[in-house]
Amino acid sequence: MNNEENMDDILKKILEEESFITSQTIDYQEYLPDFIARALEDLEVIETNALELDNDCENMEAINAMFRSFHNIKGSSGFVGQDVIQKIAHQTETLMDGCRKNTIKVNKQIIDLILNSVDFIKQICEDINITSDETFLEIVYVHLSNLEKISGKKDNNTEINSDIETDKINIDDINDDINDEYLYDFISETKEHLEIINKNMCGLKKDPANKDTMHNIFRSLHSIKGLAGFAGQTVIQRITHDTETLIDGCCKEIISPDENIIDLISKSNDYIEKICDDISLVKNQTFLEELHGHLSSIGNFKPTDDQLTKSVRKENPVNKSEEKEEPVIDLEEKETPAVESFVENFMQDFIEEAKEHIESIELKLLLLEKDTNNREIICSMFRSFHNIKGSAGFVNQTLIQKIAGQTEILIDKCRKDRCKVNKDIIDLILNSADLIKKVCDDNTLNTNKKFINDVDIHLHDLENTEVNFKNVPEEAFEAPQKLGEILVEQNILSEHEVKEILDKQKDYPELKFGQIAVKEGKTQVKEIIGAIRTQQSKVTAATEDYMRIATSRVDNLVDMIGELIINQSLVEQEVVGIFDSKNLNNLLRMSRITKDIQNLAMQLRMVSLKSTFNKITRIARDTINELGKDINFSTSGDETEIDRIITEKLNDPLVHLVKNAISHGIESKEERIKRNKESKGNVKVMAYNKRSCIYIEVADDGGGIDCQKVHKKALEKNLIDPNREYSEKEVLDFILLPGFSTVDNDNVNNISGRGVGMDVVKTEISKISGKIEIINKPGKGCTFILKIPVNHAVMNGTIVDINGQNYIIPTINLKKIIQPQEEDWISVQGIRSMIRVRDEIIPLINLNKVFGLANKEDSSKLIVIIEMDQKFKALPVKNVVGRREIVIKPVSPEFSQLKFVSSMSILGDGKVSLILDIENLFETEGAA
Amino acid sequence: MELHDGKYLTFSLKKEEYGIPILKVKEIIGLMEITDVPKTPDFVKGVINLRGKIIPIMDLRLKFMMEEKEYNERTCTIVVETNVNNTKSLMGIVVDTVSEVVNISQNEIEPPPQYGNKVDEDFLLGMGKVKGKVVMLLNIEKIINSEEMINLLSDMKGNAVNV
Repeated sequence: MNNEENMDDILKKILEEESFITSQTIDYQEYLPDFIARALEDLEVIETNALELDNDCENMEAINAMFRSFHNIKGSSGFVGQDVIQKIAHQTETLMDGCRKNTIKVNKQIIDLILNSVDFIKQICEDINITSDETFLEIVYVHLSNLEKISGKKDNNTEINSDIETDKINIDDINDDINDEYLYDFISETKEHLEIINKNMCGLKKDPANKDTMHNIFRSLHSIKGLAGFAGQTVIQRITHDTETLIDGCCKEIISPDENIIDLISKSNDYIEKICDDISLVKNQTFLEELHGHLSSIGNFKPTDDQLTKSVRKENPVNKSEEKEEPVIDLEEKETPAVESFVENFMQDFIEEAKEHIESIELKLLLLEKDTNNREIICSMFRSFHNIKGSAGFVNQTLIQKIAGQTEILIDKCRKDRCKVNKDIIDLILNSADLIKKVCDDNTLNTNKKFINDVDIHLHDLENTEVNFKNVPEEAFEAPQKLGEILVEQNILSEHEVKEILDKQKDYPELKFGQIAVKEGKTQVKEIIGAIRTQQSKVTAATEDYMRIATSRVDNLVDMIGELIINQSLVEQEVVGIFDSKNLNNLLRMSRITKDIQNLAMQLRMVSLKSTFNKITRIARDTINELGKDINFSTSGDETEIDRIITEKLNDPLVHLVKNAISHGIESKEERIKRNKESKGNVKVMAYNKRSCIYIEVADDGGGIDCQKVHKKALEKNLIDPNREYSEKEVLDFILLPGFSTVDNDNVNNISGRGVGMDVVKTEISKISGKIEIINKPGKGCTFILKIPVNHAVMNGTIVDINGQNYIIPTINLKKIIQPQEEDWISVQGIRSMIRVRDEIIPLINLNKVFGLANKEDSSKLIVIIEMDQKFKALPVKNVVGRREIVIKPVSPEFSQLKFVSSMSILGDGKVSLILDIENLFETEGAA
Repeated sequence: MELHDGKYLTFSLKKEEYGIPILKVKEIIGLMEITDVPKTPDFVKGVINLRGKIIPIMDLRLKFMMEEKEYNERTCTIVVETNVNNTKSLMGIVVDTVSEVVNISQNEIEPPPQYGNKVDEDFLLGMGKVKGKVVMLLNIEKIINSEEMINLLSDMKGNAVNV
């Protein structure tokens, strides 16, 4: 295929879609941050799976997971009007689909393409405005055309449409008779929605241009539409659909919402309400005619926009009582894109829910095999299928709906003892479960002809089983046991009463449990509705596991708890001696609880290293490819938890270490063979917890560091004192010096070698008060160990009094506290500038210089020796107050210029104290 | 620029009345123990702990180059929330005493004089007339602009020893 032509093609396509999408976008911008957060999560999933796929090209699970994530992104990006993302996601999805169906072989190139897509989407997520950058778009187009070249299926879409159309017609045959069950519930919910609409209508009358009100009405109507379809109320569905389209037009400013329009909407409401009050109206010819007049007057106002008119093209008069299914077909096939993406958001939920149901169905089938007469099992399976069917309809999964519906009918037969449970039936149900599971795992199966064929055969089988029992009249289904159970649980009915009602039900099979219950005066209508609600909510309750919280809230919580602890200790100090033992005990218990709360709050900020490790795995892979080396990169311990702030800071150092290990650490193949090693190199990143510290090791089995070379280079670059002997450990630490690199200048490549990397590692790690240790085994490899305190927000600090004010020194940097003798001082030009401590001469920090203080040196009675990188400095202090756990607070931006303060803290007495930046103390003094 | 009329919190500095838009005021607190931060300009008194949050404290007298006054029980700290470069931050400003909240309408406000004021006219939103008195309405964001503060800090650096 000619690349350029192709590109133009895509460009055109994108432009078309662009204008199309913008015209469709209702103002969803407010959802953008949420969308980005979700998209980034999805991208992470994709990346992880892509890397897995890299190891195992046949990993179907990974492909499916990636497909799902891309699909999610595609769906929600359309929703927020991010058409470029949508386009990328769509094209990649198509590619993934090819992989999934084995029409495309997964190889490195494909994975690269997918990762590219991920990168593009990520880029857009980070900077939404980039989508208006021409150059960026061009790159994206090239990428898209590459994708398309490989997936190479353009006419897919048309196929899909025709397939769906045929599906829809089948489904309605099944639908009709099953839906009565929810009618009761449907009506009550519809009425609620109508109330909302009416409320909003009042608002709209006052302010016809108010989009919010319009959206509210739109949403409510859409809900009713969904519910109506579910309950088989096609007439209501039709009204709501038309009205919805009308409002949609108003929202998009295609038609202006004047009084006529508002009247029409009000009228629609009235009609729906009328139907709700008397369901039989839908069979009343005069009513229908009247309604038809109303609908066609809506039709007159309908938006003229291309897309929207399309959705109402079947406006011709329809005799509803005869051609009931027709409007339904229209709806499903032509729902506006906005609505579609709305539905896609539910897709994931639906799939999870469906899978749960299927799982329970499978389990129950196995039980049923042993006990074919167990009604309870049959009923619960029936419920599961019914639930699947219901929600499938909601998310447009017609195939699933069909399967579940048909299976449900079969199970119902069994339930009503009109069909004996035997192995064949169990097999059939199992098969249904399998098919649904397949569709859940692979959404594209909906359009897979072969698969649809399979399903048809299966459906046919299901029906045939049914045929034998056709003589038994069909009727509405119910779940009496469950409803009864709930009512008993809620102490509304006694078990005895439930039984009574069930007995009655046998006499009036056309009545539902609830109806009989009310008729018999056993319960109130309200209670029944409540019970039905419970019945439904029980199904969905189990899915919620996580919630998204703004980090600022968690931070505030941690702040407040810190404050609580401070106050607690203040109170404790006051009341000791005043309180009797009983009160003291209470107080102690309270303080324990407070500490527990603090721990819990701290845990809220902890995240696993998983995403960090994913990122470096990705980078490692890219680096390995770029260098063309044969290296096995692995990580372990990604479940280790660490403060969220630290994970951010860890990224850069780890990237540098890993890149170094890959580019410098691992030798070339020939060299490795010469050294009797496997030709494939190994780089491993490990994380583990030890004594309230996190250890992260980056280990390679390469050549290790050549100490002599390092020493020589360091001398050459004038980084060290040529007259000193250095221990091996010290020499190794040279590589952490800024500007140090053993790579000769002409060898600097784009991956590493400029001597910045290790310096970055060092500074970043020391920022999070971590340490680096290097274990070097010449010829065998090298391991960098990062030791990082688990909790960045809390550290052990020593409080010292400098010049009458308390400062905090990180205890980790504190070496010694001494009381100097007069003879220990060494003066330079009459100023004490050094101190002798056991044969070592340690430079003194000049407080005047650091703190800008007047000369008050005499008040300092003690010397604190601080240590940094095996170098020492003496800090004169007046007193050492104590050592305790302190909560670190960032320096307010106003003081960010103050280099000697690394952060602040609030001490037990509620006073603020400054934490000294030890590194800076060494720097400023070193320079002086 | 900003909406001029509305409610203002007035306070006094050396017998002069000043006002700041009430919407900027987060709360008014009494004196708290201030932790000194070395190497900052004189008018930056240091930091306090406001219920777990560390906020800087500025003495408005010193900022306006007036003579320092010893804090007493009437001394107040007004905690203001400012929005500079889209970052919200809190800061406490120390004033002699807080007076009242007054409603000043647009026509009671005159533009700031062009010269001859101790307070830099940049800091003024305008002059409000309340009950026969003149209240200088301050543009608090300008005054505690953190950028300016950083500049001051770096200026101070060289002179640190002389302080």
